Amino acid sequence: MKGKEYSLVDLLLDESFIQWVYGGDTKMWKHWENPDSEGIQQIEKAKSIILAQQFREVSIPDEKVDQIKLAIEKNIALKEKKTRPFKIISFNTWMGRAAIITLLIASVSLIYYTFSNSLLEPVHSESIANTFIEKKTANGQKLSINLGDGTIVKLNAGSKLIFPEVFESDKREVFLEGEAFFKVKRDESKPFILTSGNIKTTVLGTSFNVKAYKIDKTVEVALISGKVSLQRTNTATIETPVILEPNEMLVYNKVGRKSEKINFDPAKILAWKRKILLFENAGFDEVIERIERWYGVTFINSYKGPIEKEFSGAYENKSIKAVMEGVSFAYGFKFEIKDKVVIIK
Amino acid sequence: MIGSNSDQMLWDSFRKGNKDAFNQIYYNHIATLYNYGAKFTNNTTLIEDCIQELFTDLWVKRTRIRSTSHIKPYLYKSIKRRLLRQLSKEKKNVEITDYQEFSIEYSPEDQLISQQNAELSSTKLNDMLQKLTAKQKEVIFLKYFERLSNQEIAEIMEVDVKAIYKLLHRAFERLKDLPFVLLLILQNYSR
Repeated sequence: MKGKEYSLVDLLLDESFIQWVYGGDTKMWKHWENPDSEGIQQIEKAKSIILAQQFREVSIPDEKVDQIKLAIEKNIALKEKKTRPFKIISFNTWMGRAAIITLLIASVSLIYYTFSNSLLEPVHSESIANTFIEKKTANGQKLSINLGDGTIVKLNAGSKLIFPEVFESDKREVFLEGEAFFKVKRDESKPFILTSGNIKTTVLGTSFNVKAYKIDKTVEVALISGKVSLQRTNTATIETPVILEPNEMLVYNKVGRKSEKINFDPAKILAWKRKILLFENAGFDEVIERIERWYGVTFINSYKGPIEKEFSGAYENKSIKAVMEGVSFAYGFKFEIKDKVVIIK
Repeated sequence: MIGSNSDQMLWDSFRKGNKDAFNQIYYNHIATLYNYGAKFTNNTTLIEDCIQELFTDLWVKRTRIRSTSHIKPYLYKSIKRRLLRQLSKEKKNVEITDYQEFSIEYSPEDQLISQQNAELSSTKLNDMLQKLTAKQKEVIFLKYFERLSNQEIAEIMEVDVKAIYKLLHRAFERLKDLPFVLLLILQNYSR
């Protein structure tokens, strides 16, 4: 509609305009060819009004999600006059972590899976008509995902999780690129198998953190509670799987193809989950890269001064400006933040 | 948000008795349902009870439920009805078609910036927001936060699409001159 004048409110209500705003198209909104400067102002104003409609969310506590589900199951059982004692009992023991750990240790049913040479190839799975869901986070974004079985995954920035719409009858298989924290719902009949950058983690019910960014040289699996069994997926020989106990972490070096088991401090590994950006003797490159990921920005660096220093700091729920003040002071550079770009000089 | 094939498949699968599909629907929507319910009341026990009854009935009556390709609006409409029905028993001024409360607040709450610059304050915007009617706020929430189509919103609000336009129009006539650009900057930088 060339030349048609839209009032501000017209724009706000126009479906195609709204789609254009959300679509993040960089081209000018096509329904108004060659808008004059006033028109452009109008478009920008309408766009910012639409994007500003973000409201405070009331989030449901994780435990509540399960409690309500349990109540639903109980009610259904009552109404259908069938009792399923086994299912209800297994929910209860999942709530009590101590019981779970003893059961896991006592049970001999940790299931091992032989390697597979493929890495992230879920779409070539031979399951019949099983569609996969892919959830991605951009830099600067975090996402909480509930899988169909009650497992909760907290996806960190710049990460991707792929899982089937409906789990198969004998296993729960998911694929991760990036970093995520898993709280796996216990189900003995369906072991939970996570593949992430050459490491296959098999669990029954537990919580652990996996760091497998493509760009990193290592894959890290840190166990918080329960027990997991880990195996490499890229070897031709069948290896004995590594078993992790709580507070143990496996660091697998992708280059050297070696792994080592170390102890870790849960507070440090899970800092990201509590919205704390933590640096501990980090090199300049690591600092920059992690800030890019955390806040979803890009750096332009023309600083010629020394950068050998190691940087340490912890930022809880702070703006990027606050973090940059700290970093710039440590390294002695000046910085400027423009939109999503940070300039260092 | 447009109705999707996978919504349709998931819903039909559940109606046929697939418990996994039912579970998936629950886990997919529990968080947003809770958030939506919290707009009508801050009685979290009531919200939880309504959600629990909603899903229990869904499963028990699954063979009698109609098909749909938009799961979210279906669930939202249902939870809203249940909540308002309960609330109208407790309070005199609440009816299913006429409710006074729909609480939304602009985020973020970066108090430091707000205090330094009154112009940049998100509280100023929230004050203006509270001058809208409950239904006007609900429509804005559903359209721009939940990103539902006018059709889907009409289904939830139980009115026709024209009425949705009217509500949106009136709401924005009141809000359009507010400094939203500043709020946008606040949202992007105070994480």
